[in-house]
Amino acid sequence: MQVHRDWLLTPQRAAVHLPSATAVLSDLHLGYELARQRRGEAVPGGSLDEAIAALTALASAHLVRRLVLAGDLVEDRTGVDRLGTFIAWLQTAGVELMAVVPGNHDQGLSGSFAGPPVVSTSLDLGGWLVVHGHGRLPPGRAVLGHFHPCVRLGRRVAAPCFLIGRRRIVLPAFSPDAAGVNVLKLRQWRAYRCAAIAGDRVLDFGPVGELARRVRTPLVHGLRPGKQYSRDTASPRR
Amino acid sequence: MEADDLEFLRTVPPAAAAVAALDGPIREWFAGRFGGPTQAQRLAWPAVAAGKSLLLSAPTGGGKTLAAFLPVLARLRESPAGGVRCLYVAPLKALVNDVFRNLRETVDGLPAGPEIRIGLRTGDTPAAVRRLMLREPPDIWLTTPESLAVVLSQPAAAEVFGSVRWVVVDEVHALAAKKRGADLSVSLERVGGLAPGPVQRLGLSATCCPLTEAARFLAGVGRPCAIAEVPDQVPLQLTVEPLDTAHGFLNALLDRLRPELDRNRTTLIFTNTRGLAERLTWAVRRSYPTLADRIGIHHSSLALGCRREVEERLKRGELRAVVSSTSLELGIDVGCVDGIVLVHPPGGVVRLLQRLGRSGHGPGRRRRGLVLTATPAELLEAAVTGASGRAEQCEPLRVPAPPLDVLCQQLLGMAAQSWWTPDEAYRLVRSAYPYRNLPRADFDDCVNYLAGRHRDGRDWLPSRLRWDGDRFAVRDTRTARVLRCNVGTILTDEPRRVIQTDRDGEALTDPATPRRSDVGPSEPGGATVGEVDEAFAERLQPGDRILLFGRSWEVQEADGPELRVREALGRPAVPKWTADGWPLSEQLAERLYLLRAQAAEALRDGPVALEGLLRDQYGLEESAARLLGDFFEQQECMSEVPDGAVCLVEVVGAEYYVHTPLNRRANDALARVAARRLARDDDEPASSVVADLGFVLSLRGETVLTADDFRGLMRADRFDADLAEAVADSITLRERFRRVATTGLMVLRNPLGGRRRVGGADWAERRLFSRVLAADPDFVLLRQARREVWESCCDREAALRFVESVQRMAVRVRRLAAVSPFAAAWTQPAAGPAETVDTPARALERLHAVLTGAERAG
Repeated sequence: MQVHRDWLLTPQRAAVHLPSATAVLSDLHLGYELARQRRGEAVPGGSLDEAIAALTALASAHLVRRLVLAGDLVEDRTGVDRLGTFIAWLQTAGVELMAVVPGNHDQGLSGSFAGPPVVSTSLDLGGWLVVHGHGRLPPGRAVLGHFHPCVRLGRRVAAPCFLIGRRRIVLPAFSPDAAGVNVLKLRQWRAYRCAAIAGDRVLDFGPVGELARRVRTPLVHGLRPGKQYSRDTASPRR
Repeated sequence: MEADDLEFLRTVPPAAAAVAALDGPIREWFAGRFGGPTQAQRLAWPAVAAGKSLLLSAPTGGGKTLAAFLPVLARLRESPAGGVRCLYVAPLKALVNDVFRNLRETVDGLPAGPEIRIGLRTGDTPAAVRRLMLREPPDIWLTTPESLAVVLSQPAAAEVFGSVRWVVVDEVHALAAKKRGADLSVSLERVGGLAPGPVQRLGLSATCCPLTEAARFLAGVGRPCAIAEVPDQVPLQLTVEPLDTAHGFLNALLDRLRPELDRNRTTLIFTNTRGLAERLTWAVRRSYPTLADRIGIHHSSLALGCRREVEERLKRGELRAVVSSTSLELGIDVGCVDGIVLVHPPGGVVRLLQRLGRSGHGPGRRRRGLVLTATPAELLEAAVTGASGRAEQCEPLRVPAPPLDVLCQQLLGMAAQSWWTPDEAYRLVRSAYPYRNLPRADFDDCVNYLAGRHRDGRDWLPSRLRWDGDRFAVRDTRTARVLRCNVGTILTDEPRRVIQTDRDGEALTDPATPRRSDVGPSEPGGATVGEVDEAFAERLQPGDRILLFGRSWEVQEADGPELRVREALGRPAVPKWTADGWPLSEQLAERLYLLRAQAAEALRDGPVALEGLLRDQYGLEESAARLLGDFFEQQECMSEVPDGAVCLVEVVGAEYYVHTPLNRRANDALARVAARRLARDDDEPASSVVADLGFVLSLRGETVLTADDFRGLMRADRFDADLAEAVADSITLRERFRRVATTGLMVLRNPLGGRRRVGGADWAERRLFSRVLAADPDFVLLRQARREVWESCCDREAALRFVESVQRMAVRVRRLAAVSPFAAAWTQPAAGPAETVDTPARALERLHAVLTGAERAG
């Protein structure tokens, strides 16, 4: 799906700036499970391999010469160890890492690692500023991450989505570990267009407010917003 | 254990012989205070004094607590040695607090003698008191299973519990069938391992059957146990009555409650959900403004302080009514309740009797109960439940298969307490009754998981253990801390705390003041009102009003980890708690199905015959019988009443209503298999909704199913395999896995350094599930989750029995113009959760198609 003339929204959770063949993606949260392990949980690794596979899929599906990361590259300090593999992938894939715009999780990234060119807070890409999104947003056009937008319908459907405003493109989190914030429940995005990822397609659902209103009634059999799909939920009778 | 090890005490010893079992001063004190012993005490004292383990089943108010404790107190006074000598465990904090106070009072009343110290340790005990209890252990240690597990996972446990002689387990029937019971059973074995000699186990239980199962659970494998049963001799007076809901359910209910409230000194009202309890309290308070502050509410999502306040006032006789969901079902002494009202049938005989047993402790004892129903279907269900209750045909107690997630938690607790070889640990665990048949392979898988070892030998998870030769212990102090903060987590749902921001809630503070020599109940802060489900809290915004503790609260802050509220006026929303609810019991479902057929048969002989049947065998009034008569006639007019020889499928449009003699769990298994077969073999994605006595399959309208198709959908061949396939990737299994992984401490409810929100509450079911499945499809916690789905969410065995019998039955498909009364009442819950077999992506695409299609049309 193409928006604002230059931007291709891909089902691989990245927005590609077509004139410069630059993919912008956000919120990789590398080392997410390491952070959980550090908090005492016994969870297996594997998200790095998944991230690499997803990046490979992105690069093979679209013409991507350059990469811009819109923040939250790592989950926390422990994730910095994982960057080596990521850099190696860039070299194999022949993709140039233009910049990392640091996010709120990226503290300690620039100090401990010499690899990616960490810029201060934003980067200009054909008139669009790439920012992470955790601070005050610039007045002009901006591409941002941070919010992990998704469309949630019941418990079964939680699809990451892009939000498109007049001067904004909000990216979904690249990491599937991020839970996603249900845009249907938030007032601030009501005027934005919502493009949700369903498998290998990006579906345009129109304005968020309109979608929220229309899915309140059961349109599709078995799909109701806000209803729990759990079998353990009982009838209200008992 | 051989049956020979269980001994039924059938003859009740004379009072004199029973009292002789007590020591002199206590004997005199008892005679002066109570006169003669109750039947329970006469049965128990000689056996307890003789050193036997004993399961005592008696109705509430039968002097059970003293039956167990008095001989123990007598022995404690004989030898004032140090250390904990008696351990008391009860499933509810409220009950532990209650027993603490009763025991304190008893001990204070005893004639002068050596001091007996009593300590109370629950999740609410402040840290300073916890430390004090470890330093100077009291003689009697009162606790819950979770808190016991916490204390047992510290090296100090060896000293604290090194001199235990008696263990008293309260409400055995409520624990034995649960995971918490399995947890406790291993904890008790560990206490036994620390004790100097054999531990005498005393169990208190309400009526349950079979008692032998409860006794084996109590005693552990290979140990003898005596069983004493005191039948409930208080006459049961049970009325089942339909509400006239023409002007709304709540109005009808309020009208019907008025005479009850007027007549009774104290009425206890049970609802089946916390939400209805809240709504009803709110409504009752509004329609009886003069009584408003004497109407209480009690359910498990209210803060401890709120519940305690209600319990205290109930006991002091200050309340005219208390509305409760399930939390007042168990044995805390609720004082002189003289009327019990059940709103909606309770779904099980045990539950019915338990609720009715809350009354009739006062003078002129009677168990008086009123069951109010909203629909003819409920009326019929209540009639069956009542008849089974009068005949005391309870659902049998089943100790579940050994839960492996609980075992992992226990193993880590053991490792935190001292060093073990796997053989030693295995032997100890196997002596707990729920784990008597635990295969060594399952045990080894648990140890391997804790050691972080994959079955192929590589390390795949962080290890929680360190090894010294073949002995293991917890890896480091950090891991021990993780364990301490999370032990006792047996997860049911994920609640969000509701905090009152302005502190005018003086009533919320705890009235009980602990004594100096004791370690008593206390309350950290007084501003928590209760908790609501995360899913409900997620939808709230500042300014929304919610109903909790029977009051209206306005949400101030909804973003943080807690919900901050301020009391406000105005109509509030009722919270929805997902853990609410349970299916009709298997027995009742079958009996209900049969009664329907029987009633239809009787109706063929005329309305009088039906009324006679319902009156004579089910104790229903004439008006109620008439109501049911109409209901059956409507069904007969539109369709038919299915009996044991026919499987009825009613079709309305593309919805297929299947009637079965099964409860929700068995229907769940059946519906899953049918939907799976439709999707796989006919490429027809169907969604299903299950209920008691039936389920609904909704198709998309292209396919028409015949009786033969239904025979195919319900064939016994490959049923197991298809069910496994249907469950394999279901949301049910994922959810169950999240809970199992939390209980098994793979993910933590209280991680070190607090929670991070990136992954969200459902990370384990969304992400961890898939990763674990990919790494090891037979991973021990995954296996446990699967087992639980098979056992508790969908009753595979009952469904299988049914599909086998369907082959001998007629399958009749009837096309109807509208939903029949039976289908409306029994095959679909009022607002049922549907499950589709579509992938999420496909579901989204369909939604998109519908939305854009509608756009073009409009």
